[in-house]
Amino acid sequence: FFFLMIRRPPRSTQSRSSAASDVYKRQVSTQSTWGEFFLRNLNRKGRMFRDERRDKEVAVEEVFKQASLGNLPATLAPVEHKQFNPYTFNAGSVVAIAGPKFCLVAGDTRLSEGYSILSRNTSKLVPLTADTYIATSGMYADFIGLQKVLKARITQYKFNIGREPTTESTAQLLSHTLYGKRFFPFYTFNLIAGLDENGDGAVYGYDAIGTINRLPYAVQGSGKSLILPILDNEIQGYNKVKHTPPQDLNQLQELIVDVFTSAAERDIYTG
Amino acid sequence: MDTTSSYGKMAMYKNVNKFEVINQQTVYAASGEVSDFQELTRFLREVERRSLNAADGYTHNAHDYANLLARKQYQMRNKGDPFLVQSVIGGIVDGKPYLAVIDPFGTPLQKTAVLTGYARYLCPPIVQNYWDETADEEKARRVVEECFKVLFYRDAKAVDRIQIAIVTERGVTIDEPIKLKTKWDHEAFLTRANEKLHTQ
Repeated sequence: FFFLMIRRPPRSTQSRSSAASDVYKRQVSTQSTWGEFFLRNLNRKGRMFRDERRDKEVAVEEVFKQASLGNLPATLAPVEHKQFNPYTFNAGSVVAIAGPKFCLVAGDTRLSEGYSILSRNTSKLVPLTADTYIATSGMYADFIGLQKVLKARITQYKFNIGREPTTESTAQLLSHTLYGKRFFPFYTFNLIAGLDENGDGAVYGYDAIGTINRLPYAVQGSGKSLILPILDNEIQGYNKVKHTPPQDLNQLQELIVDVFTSAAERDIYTG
Repeated sequence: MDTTSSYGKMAMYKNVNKFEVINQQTVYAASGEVSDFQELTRFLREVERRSLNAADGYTHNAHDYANLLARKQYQMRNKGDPFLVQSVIGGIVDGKPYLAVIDPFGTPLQKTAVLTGYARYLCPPIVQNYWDETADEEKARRVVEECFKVLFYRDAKAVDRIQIAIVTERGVTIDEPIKLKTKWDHEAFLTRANEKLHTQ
């Protein structure tokens, strides 16, 4: 029954068009009930599952009953009043590209709330160590919260180990920090960009709950679907008959400016 | 800041002081739930009081209070019981003006101009076109008054009484409330009121 209670993490994109496919995959649409689902479980004294035998049985019965009717746990009881949704989407897009002896990381500087712009010059890139940056798209308040946790842990590491953590270690730290909040996730879509122990660029991409992948380049955020295909074509050479990869940092910088300009044309959250 | 405390569209109290002085270089105001604003004021005042009691030569400045509020509001959001306020902290930090806004999620934003509520939708063009950071206090006051006038013209729930607080290196001044000068006897308004009904 634990399997039934676990939900897929939220997507970084806000599109409504996949609601239909959510139904097909027997998932409740991740639009409005995501926050409500966690809140409803938080209200049970802050823990997902109670220890008292009676409560556990109630939970199991309810879950199975609803599942047999074709409803997943999030649709259990109709919410009578509108509950506070703890999640919001603020941030635009971030890109990171790894190269030999360098790593490029970029993000737009717009923060939004619904159809309003909150800020035109807030950075989404934060240095964690001398050779590692975290870039994040998603909810800005959660990003600040996440940053503080990471910086505290890195300070502890420096105190205990006597040097800064490597990019690989920081990447691992982020992964388990995110998973630690598996049942009330940080609504952040992160990239770690830094230099690995050989001095080459290292880029790690994450989802909201800490799935970690080392990649040659990565994009996150609302403009992801607009930017990633261009990078696939220009850097990897997918779908190209004849491909010359970008030669140097200047070319890559121009490429990044171009992709952000393109994304900003069509994505309201990217500025 | 306006001086009303409303229940939905019922303007229950029209003479409410919504600025709270935390210390001589920090002013706190909030848009939204007034009881949450009062609670947060108690919280900030307590922090300031403890700092004074410690008497160790260290004081908190506006930036510290903005961070504190951001953490506090974020914590309550994590519990699913948020402070339903956009908190605004204004003050002087290291000799320079400081302004920050914190939303119910705990998102802290340091800005040079803060607009909350309906002002977010109606006032950005006024602020962008008539004000910049080099403007003096007099200009800033006029721009603020103009913004509130526009809000009173267009927001059905607004009241035409506002209060302005100024923080300088010399300290905090909260002015007496002023009534906005708005014009309702435009020819167009009168003519429309006397317009004959269209009949076929």
